Amino acid sequence: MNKHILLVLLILYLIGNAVQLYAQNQAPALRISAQLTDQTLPDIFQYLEKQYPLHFYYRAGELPQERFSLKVQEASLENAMQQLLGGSKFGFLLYRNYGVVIAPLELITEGFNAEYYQALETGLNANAGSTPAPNLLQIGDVRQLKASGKAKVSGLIQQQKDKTPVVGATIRVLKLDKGSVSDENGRFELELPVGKHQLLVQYVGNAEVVQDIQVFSDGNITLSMESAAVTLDEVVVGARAVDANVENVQIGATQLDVRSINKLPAFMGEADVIKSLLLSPGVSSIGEGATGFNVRGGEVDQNLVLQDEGIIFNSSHALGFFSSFNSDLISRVTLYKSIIPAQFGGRLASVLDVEMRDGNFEQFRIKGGVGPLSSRIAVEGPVIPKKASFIAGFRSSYSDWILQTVRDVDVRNSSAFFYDANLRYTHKLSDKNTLILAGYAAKDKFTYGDNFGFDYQTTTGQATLKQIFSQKFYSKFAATLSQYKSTQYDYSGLDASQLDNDIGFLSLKEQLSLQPRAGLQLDAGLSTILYQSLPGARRPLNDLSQVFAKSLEKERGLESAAFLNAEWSVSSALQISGGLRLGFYQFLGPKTVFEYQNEIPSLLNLIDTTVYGKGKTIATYSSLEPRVSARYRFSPAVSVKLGYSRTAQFINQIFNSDSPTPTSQYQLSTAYIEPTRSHNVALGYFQNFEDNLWESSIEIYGRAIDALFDYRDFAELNVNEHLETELLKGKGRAYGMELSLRKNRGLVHGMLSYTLSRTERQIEGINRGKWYLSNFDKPHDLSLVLNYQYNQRHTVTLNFTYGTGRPTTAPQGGYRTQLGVPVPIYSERNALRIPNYHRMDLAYTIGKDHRKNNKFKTSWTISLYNVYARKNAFSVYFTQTPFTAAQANRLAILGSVFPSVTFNFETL
Amino acid sequence: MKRFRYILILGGLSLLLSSCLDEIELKNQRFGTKAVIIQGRLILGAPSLIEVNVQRIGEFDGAETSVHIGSAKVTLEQTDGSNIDLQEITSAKLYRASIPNNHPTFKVRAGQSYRIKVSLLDGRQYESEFEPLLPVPELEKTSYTLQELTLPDKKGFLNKATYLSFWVNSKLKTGGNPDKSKLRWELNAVYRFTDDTRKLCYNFEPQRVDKVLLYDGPGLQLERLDTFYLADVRLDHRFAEGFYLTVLQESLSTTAFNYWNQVKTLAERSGSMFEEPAAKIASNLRSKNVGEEVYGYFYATAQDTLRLYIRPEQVGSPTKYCPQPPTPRIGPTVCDNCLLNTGSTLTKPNFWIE
Repeated sequence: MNKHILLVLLILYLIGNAVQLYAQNQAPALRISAQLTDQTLPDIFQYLEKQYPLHFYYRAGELPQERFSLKVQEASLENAMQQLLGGSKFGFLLYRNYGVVIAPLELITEGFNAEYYQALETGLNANAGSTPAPNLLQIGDVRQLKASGKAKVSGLIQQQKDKTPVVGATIRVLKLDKGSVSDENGRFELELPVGKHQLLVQYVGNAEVVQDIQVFSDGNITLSMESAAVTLDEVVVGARAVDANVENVQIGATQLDVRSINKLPAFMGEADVIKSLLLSPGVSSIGEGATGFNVRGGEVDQNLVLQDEGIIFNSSHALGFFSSFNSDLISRVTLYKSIIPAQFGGRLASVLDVEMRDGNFEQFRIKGGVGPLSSRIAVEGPVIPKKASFIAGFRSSYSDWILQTVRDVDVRNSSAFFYDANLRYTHKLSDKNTLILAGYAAKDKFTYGDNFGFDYQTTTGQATLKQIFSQKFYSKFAATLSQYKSTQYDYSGLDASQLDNDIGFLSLKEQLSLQPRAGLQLDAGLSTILYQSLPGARRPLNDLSQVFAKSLEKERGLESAAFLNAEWSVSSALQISGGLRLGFYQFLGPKTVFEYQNEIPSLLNLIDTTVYGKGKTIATYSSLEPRVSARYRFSPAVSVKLGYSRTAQFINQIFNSDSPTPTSQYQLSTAYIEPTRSHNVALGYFQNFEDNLWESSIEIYGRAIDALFDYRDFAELNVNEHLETELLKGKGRAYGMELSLRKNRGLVHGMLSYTLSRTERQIEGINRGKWYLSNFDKPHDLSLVLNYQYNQRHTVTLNFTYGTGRPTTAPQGGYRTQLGVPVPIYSERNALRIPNYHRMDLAYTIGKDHRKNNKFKTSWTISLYNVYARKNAFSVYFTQTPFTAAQANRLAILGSVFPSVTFNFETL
Repeated sequence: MKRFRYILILGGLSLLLSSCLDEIELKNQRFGTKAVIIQGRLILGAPSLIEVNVQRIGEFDGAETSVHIGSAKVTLEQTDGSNIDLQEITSAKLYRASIPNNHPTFKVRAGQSYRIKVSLLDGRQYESEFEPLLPVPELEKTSYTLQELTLPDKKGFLNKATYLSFWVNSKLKTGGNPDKSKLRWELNAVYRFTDDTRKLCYNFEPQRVDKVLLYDGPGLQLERLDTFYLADVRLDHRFAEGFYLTVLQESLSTTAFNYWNQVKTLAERSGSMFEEPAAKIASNLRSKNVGEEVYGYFYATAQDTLRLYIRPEQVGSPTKYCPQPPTPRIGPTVCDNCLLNTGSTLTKPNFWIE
């Protein structure tokens, strides 16, 4: 602190006399004569100031009370000061012979580094100049310059018209290879050397802002952006800093370039957030039409999918062909792969954080699109101009017309329908308080002839209050109420039945963010989620059905957590984001709990039951989850990152198939089903080339999972009150290497990613206790996206993916029963692989025109999905009848090329 | 706009070509082992009968390569330790014992449990778990209806044809037993067949061996079975001269039912993404040799039998198979000699009453 005050004193002087200093610097050295005895130091300093062109800077309260003498004749200023202060505990600091700072010796002798003086010089020279240029913004005060010679610039990006924050704008410091992205409050931070810089601010849908700045010390800047048709694109998100690859402290974090989603070739033209994520290294799925995605060897239920603060349990439409996110409404998409900040918890492998955007506070706008299977529309505008806005989006399918053209009667009598709807209301209660109310509803209905059907829906309501207590202290409180319900119908036969599942939750989360000083941000908070689930209820569908009506008891669990995360810039090179999450889980009554002999769940060991009353705790678990990610930047273009996280999961999806069904129940941790836990580590090397034109990275990761379970052979999972008897407990491990190469700009740009990985389990009772492959293990996974953008409107995109065929269990022999029924003998679990997967897609995008006066913009995306019509195997199954030879068959979900055209429109 | 419409239609058409099945080959789909399969069934009767197959495993590539292992010692044992040896029937490639009710040392009764032990010539030994023999509920009636169905033929092609759908009426409980039974059915047919030489044969033919017919009495809500559907049999020349359907109803223990249910599950797999993964069927046989797996199952059962005679005129008097139109032929056909039919005999079954 003293050091800073000392500097302030010095700089005050320098600023005030900058021009004069320059002139005096050229003058002969000053000679001092004085005959002063028994006087206080302030008196002596005042005398000298009167006699000579000197300025003394000191804190009077710190100076000694004793009296001093100064008797010199034609002495240099330095000698005079040495005589005066020699033997005392105080020293002095001269600057250009005219400024004298008096301070305790320990401060004076500490010294300042070269960067400081260079910065000081820069600052002074700038200050010494004439009137600043009109476009030059001065930030800070050179009197507050830090010893490092660097300053922290805190900024706010806002819309010119309504002053709403711009989320996800990129801020690039030209010539410095530095940059940042504005956060959800439109804020950003940059650490810059003192001096002049030029900022380039970009945000899709807005005109670029080029701003000259002159940095003296820490300070704030506010930049306004203007809507412009010139750069308006399909999805108004661009959330990557130009050097984010190297700069970001969080290893394994992937920010999706949502702008590019609509340009990617998509199945039936439906732009898809989650399918786009599959192009990232470390992210894969088991095949087309499969629900969910796998991250770094994690099951699909190990991903926490968030829409703002609300958990989305089923993010798939049409059984998995499409995701349930309407890309027109998205602000930012971030995927944290295994190394997860402490703010997030409850899942082992990843967090997909999808942030929705606010509606326009100034004007009404409409966006939409029409595709062969579905259409979408989004409307936004002010409710109270500049104060309250809304945004509403709706998507719906109309795929039945295709099904009607099929000859097969069952297909013709089938139906596949979905919709999703979003409504978000944002109200600025004051300059510092914002209330957001959001609702989301999605529904799917799928029937296959008279045979079977699925029906599932999600309903979510959220309220979020954002408060800014000060520029460096703000809070976000969110309350979410959500319900997911699913039903499976078997229409025919004696088994005609209806199977219902549901899970709902109420979550509360308070997060405080504090920036106590430059380079340090603290995020702390509490969260709690009360789950209530119906694991399963089955009832006969008609009078002929012989199925027993059966309903399991509802289950309740309370998952709470306290977290603290600090992001600390130790130096310009080293940045650490670390924290701790304390999780606490309770499995609550009312519930009848079975007791097994020796606590080994088996129907043969069933000995008793215990009935727990409402709210009674049946089982508790806690978790201590340290999280850390560190980045060391060797140069502006090279960094190394290292991360570790401990994660715990108290809820699992129960499914024993390749892909979860919509009715795969969500099972809370119980006395017998322990929470799964994982140690996750990652190490990465990141390097950019040619002014961030090229980005490259290599990451290696490892995961060790405890209490992982798998299923017994022929496990009975539906409506089973003894579910624990069908699970076998063990452990898992996953490790791999992820390579990524990206070209960000140019006529041809794109991305290449490759993952080499292994995912295994060791479960007692499966494969004789040996390690075996998970059914989504994919050793080689490659994605290539190439964009040929020959002008601002026209883009051709090529997408190629290749992956090793996933493991499967296949018959390796067989016999026949005495009557002749063929009985295959299957291999050990997941011992063989289905054929490798590869696919190429093409898309041609005709973007919007760039005329500013055109208020109605249209664009087209023409896609060819699976260009060479490869029949990629989703699964392999085996047939053998008494009359035919045994045969392996592959089921190709999409065995043909899928052309599509999507028409998009937008009003300005 | 017109072009846009064409593209939409093209998109729709392409979907029709989408989901598809193809035959493929998988790498490493061979065991490379000589695992042993043991299948045995003890049927309560007068006399009771036990038959056991001991085989070496076959490859799952279409070839029927399961090989009978001869000269084994096969023993049926009760819980009290009494036992009886089975004799090898070389012609039938199995081991068999017929146990009269008045056997002095070995009684086969409902409510008892039995197991088998097998010793091979090379010293390898196997034994099963004890399996309870449960009484079987009374099979009261069997019937059929005629209907047009589109079903796969023996070559797997879908064809629309007339079928006989067979139904049964049965109790689900035995005596004063309050518990319902788990049931399995076998369908065996005998039909008369006259060749061009006017020779009269009776052909024994198991029906719908591609199906495992099961009913989980305790797991389903019916208290008895009334016109319970079993299977469809295509109406063809087999019904032209008289057709007997024999329905065998077996009682199964829980473990035996689970075994057959797993066989059924594997037989009915379709490769759907939502299908539970296939797995090895659990056997109740154990090898005494460390690390060796053994497959198959042994169970004990009681059976109830009903036969249904279907006269040709009841099903529209289908055309006889013979004579066939003259075509170039190599060697004799079933029309030259009806005994060439698999399972054919000149002996009229003793239950055959027209």
